[in-house]
Amino acid sequence: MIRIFVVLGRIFRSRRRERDLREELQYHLDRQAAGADAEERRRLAAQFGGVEPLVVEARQRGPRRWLDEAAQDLRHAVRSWARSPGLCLLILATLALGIGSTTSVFSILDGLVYRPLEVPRSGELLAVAQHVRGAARSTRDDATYVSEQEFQRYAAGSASAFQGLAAYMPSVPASLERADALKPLVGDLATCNYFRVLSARPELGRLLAPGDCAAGAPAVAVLSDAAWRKEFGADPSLVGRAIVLNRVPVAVIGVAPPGFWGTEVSATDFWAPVTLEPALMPEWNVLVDANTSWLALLGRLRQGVSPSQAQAALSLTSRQLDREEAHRRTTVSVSSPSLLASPQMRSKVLLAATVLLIAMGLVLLVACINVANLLLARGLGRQREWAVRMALGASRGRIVRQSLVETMVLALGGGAAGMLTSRIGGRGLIRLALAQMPPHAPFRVPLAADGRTLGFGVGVTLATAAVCCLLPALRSARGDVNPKLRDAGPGVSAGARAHRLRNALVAAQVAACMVLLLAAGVLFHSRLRMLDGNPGFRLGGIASITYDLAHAGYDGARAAGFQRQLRDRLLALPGVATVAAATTLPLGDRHDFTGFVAPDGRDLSVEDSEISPGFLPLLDIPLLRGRNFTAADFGARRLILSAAAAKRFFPEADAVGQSLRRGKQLWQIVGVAADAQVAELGVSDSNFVYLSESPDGQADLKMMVGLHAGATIPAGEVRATVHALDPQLPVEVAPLADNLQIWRLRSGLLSNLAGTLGMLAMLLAGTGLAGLLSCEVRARQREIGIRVALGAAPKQIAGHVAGQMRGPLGSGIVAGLALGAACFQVLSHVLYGVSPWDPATFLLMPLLLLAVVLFAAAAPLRRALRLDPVQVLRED
Amino acid sequence: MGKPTELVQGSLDLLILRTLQPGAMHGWGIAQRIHLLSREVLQVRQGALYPALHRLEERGWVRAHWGESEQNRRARYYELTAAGRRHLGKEQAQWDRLTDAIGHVLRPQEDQP
Repeated sequence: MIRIFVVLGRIFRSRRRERDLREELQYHLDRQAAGADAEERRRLAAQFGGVEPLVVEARQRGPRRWLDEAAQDLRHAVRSWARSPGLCLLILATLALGIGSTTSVFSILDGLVYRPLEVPRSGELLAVAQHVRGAARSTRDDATYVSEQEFQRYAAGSASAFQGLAAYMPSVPASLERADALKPLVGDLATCNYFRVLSARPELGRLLAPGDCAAGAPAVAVLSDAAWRKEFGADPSLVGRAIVLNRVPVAVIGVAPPGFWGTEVSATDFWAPVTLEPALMPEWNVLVDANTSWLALLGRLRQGVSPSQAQAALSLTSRQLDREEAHRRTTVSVSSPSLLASPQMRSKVLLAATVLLIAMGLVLLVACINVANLLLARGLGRQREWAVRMALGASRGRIVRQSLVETMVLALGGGAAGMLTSRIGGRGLIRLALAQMPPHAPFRVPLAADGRTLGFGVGVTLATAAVCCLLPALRSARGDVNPKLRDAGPGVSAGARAHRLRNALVAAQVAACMVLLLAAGVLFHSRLRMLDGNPGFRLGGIASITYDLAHAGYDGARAAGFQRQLRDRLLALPGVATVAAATTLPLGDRHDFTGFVAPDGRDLSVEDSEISPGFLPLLDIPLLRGRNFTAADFGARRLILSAAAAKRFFPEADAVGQSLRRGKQLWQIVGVAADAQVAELGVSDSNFVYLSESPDGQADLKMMVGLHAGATIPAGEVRATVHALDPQLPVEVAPLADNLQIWRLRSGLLSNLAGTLGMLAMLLAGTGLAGLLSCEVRARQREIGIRVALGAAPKQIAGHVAGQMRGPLGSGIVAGLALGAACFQVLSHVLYGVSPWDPATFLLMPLLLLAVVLFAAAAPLRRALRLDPVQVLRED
Repeated sequence: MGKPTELVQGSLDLLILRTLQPGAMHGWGIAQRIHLLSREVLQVRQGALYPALHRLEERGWVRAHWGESEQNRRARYYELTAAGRRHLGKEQAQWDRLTDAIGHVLRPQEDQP
């Protein structure tokens, strides 16, 4: 704003200066003329040369000249674009879409990974991650979390660095008891200084205070503003009353302020003291377990303490912890907290976003090259205009600048439109992603533009402008005036340099297109494999019965009773042949990881599931060695390893008969089962371990029933059976094959996205090439006409015109193949049953691209063949 | 009036500054004064004078204000600033050295003992 005033002031001042100058010169002229006669006066005036030239000269030295010319260029640019509105709109739309889509992806990345938490003085906050190796450890959620005991040690050891260090377990599922049903909520279990560290003030009542975490303190919770409004109609009298969470009465002590979202991507409904973990989550019971990672660490630095000083203080504690346990090696890392503070999640999201950004950048590149080619073609058409202006005395720099201004106006307009689209696009993308997630996961990403997104958008716009504009602008002023004036007729073809430039652009476009098509092809092939793939276990004729006793407040003994009764009653249902139970259903969305240590000290993190003896036979997973579980193994800590896990734990020896250590418990291996993709579709060699049923796992068990051949799933009867035992318990009955759907959905989303981008790039490249060829044909009408008149065969003409594209097309395809081969490793973990260098894709996709290019070239070529030599030559 | 002698490049600024040393003067007066002081040899053309004056003004060596002329008309008066005075001193010394040197080159025999 201030700049505008400065410029205006300068213009105003220069106006006044001109007026002064005129008066001053007039005075001089009058004095000179005073003593002279008429003849002498005229002579003097002629010698003086008049007032105006001096004024003009003064003006050209002043700051206005630059402004004047810029304004002229702008006016000229707008006028010249107004003459071709179609082209202008096409370019604007292309740029807006390209810039908008890349910026919207970046704005999501920014909201998740880079934007500081929306709390007061967020610059002082520090997220702390712990990495433990060499010790047996269990993990809830994230391996970089700490246990409560470790938190106490870190807090005590780093008191000089932090005003406060808080710990919390994010995204704890809980069920709120309402009059009619159980309502699922998501909350955090936090240490009682959590709100003080985040500098939050209550909207109502009070927030957690140190007393709430004391031994024997009454059970309390703080509600989020959103949950308070949605679940309790913003009832102010709720504070002080009790609600029932997981069948435990908890007193509401306050409501968090409306803007306070907590520290996670998913919205938090309530915060309860970490000491309530045993009561709210009896089946976990991790509060007393010093070797389970379950709490995230977040601290507020003291004034003047740097993050590295804080890290040093924390490392002292971690080294102490190492001394207390054999083989343990711990490192501590710190980062400025955002919604995704955990290093694991961060790197996953960063990788995905980078791949997506690269793909979108390639589409943008293809679009930019189209624009550049359009502008180049337009520049060639205007060579005569430039030549005339240069002949009339315009400087070369002036002409380059003007054509730069012309294209910059477009690029910046496209960029501005793109920034607007990105706001809408970002929300759209999030909605799309949400549609792929479980419905009860509220999710938010702050998308408001900040410096980083703005900077990214401006950067993309400038890069776009550079690709689109600079080349054509430079071209426009190159070369001599004379030859251009002389033969800039429609018959002349562009110089060799323009050809080289254009060929390079075409090659780049084809290469970008090729990479995208290859990615789409590989993903699509993997999807085809997935649709008819065999996961290594039986899916047909099995129904899954899912319910969650843990969150319905069952303890181990009550859950065991429920499961026993349900098993017996299910077996009695018509059509049911067998019943099996497991804590993790095959390909379900729940994943438990545990650390096991082999006798030789080798430690591995494995995915595990407690299973009943009926589990393996029901799924047709064969036992390779040893025996299946029996009823006698209940609570006896027996293991069946998957073949892959057995090989990793005991590369040399036979696993059966050996034991693995988990924490202080020894688990004995009774069998080895064949590998099956029970954990993740497409991964058959994951370290999977089956545990014998235990009293602790009873609340987590779900059921599967195997049906007699030809029987349909007795969904109604199953539901009735469950409700006869617990009328309030939510239960889902579905074919086991439905679990495949989640995986298919993800692969579908990916292959659709890659396919869309690939098709878009192909479409853009196709239209661009067609446009380029038809320009070429038009520019060489006369030449073609003469050739036809001299008796050239149509085939020769077509070969001649199309032959020019052969070089760039070939090198583009080869470059695309090489690029794809070089960087498709990143796709390997989302592929199922297909190598990233899938031969079928690498063979078919270049052919597809060639076919599209040929199709695009057909129309202009036909036009070239149909040219009537007589008419063409007469036109000149 | 004979054909005016061309000024040595860059010497116009020095002449103007020197002319302004006694006090403020308008553009016409400066031209007349240079003409007179050079015994009617040098004639400053208007097309050179005013751009030079404005250049000196931009550099801060002279400042201008509107005043009343001898004939009761508004005229633009120029006067030296402190910086202009300093610059004049420096330039004058340099000019003396230069003309001395040129003199020695043109009449070397006078230097011989």
